[in-house]
Amino acid sequence: MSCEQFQAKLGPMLDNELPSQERNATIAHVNQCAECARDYERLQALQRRLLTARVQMPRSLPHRVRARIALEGEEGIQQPVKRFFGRARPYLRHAAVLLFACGISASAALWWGRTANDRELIVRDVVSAHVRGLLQDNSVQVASLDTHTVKPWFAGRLDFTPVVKDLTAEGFKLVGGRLDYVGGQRVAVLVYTRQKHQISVFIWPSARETSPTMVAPNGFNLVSWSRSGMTFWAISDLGQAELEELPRHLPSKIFH
Amino acid sequence: MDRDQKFERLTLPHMEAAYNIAYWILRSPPDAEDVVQEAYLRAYRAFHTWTGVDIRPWLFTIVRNSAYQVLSLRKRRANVISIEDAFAPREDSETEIPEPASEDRSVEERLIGDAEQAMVRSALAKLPQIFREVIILREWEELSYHAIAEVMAVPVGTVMSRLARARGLLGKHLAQLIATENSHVV
Repeated sequence: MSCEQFQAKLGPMLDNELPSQERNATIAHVNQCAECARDYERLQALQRRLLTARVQMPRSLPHRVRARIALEGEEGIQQPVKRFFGRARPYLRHAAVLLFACGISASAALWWGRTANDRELIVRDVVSAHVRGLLQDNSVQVASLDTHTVKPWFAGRLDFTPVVKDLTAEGFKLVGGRLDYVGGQRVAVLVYTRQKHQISVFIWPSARETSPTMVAPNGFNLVSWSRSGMTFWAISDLGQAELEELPRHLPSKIFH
Repeated sequence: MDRDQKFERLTLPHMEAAYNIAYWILRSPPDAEDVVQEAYLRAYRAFHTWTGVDIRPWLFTIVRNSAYQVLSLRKRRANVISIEDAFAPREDSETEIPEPASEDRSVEERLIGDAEQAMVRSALAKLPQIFREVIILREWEELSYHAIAEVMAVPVGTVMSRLARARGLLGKHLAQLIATENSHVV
């Protein structure tokens, strides 16, 4: 074999990817060819130097990932089913799962029809929409410094005009807005921040008037209220007391 | 609970690797964090579909795909500029674009070891993405050619040729950087 052919084997040799016969031949060549020996050393040196270039993840990242997974895990229900039928024969398992699924969906339909009120469904939607927002690199579709860009942006996309107000003076900085889907309808979302906490405010029309109600689903704080023809749902991991300030500022007086 | 524990035991040790894969595609720490979170969640949801010995190729494939999704989203967004971004330069410090890690020279980085690190990072940053990926998976994660082929969805032969090209280019970039460094000293 020529020197050039061995050259191509140096990398795979370093990576332990050569069959033993080729490996032995390559080692024998490197031992007597100064040029190939130098090239091999260069590859090794490069490998060592590269290790310094790794970046370190933030130390809090594993905690955050685990928290998200734990949140997800609470919702999962397939696991006991799997374990229970795990040892059954495949066709039996399929039949059983199918039957089980039929049973579940039938009773779920009944159950939903009877007991689930809109509120629970909306809480669920709001939580998942908020989390979805948190997972995006950018949780807004229109970014803003003031209300004059956000409000017109919504105008063409919804059949209602939401209240858009920057509350920086009140401690809630307006980041921007986006659209989302809650309770079977398109809704406006305003995103605020306060001390690095993100707050999503979901807004849609409503004829009712209700005073602020606080709940804490899945470790988030959620406050909802209806006023001046709009319903507001604000959710965040911000403390309850701080989040409760929000209903005092939305909707603002300028819309009266 | 069993499933959760198994998932954590298998995947948590590779989070730093996942972070590096995402970081070197997106070059932004917050984006890399988002991608790791998203990818781990996806992996968790699909965990029952994994049937392997080494979880890394499977996990890294998800991380890589998530990162590329963010990248293409970012490219699409770059075409949509809000009116105020175009006309009013923001004055608050939040919008200041952080320097890429490869050029980030803090006080400690003036130490010799860190100067070396910065140099290797900028050499790595100069590589085309497909070459950088193969380097990361091989030199840092020590994945086999076969596993790298799985993650990058290319034949093993392609992995080999990319790796050889990548090492060649990287050596060249480093030599150039060392030459410029020395010329500054002189």
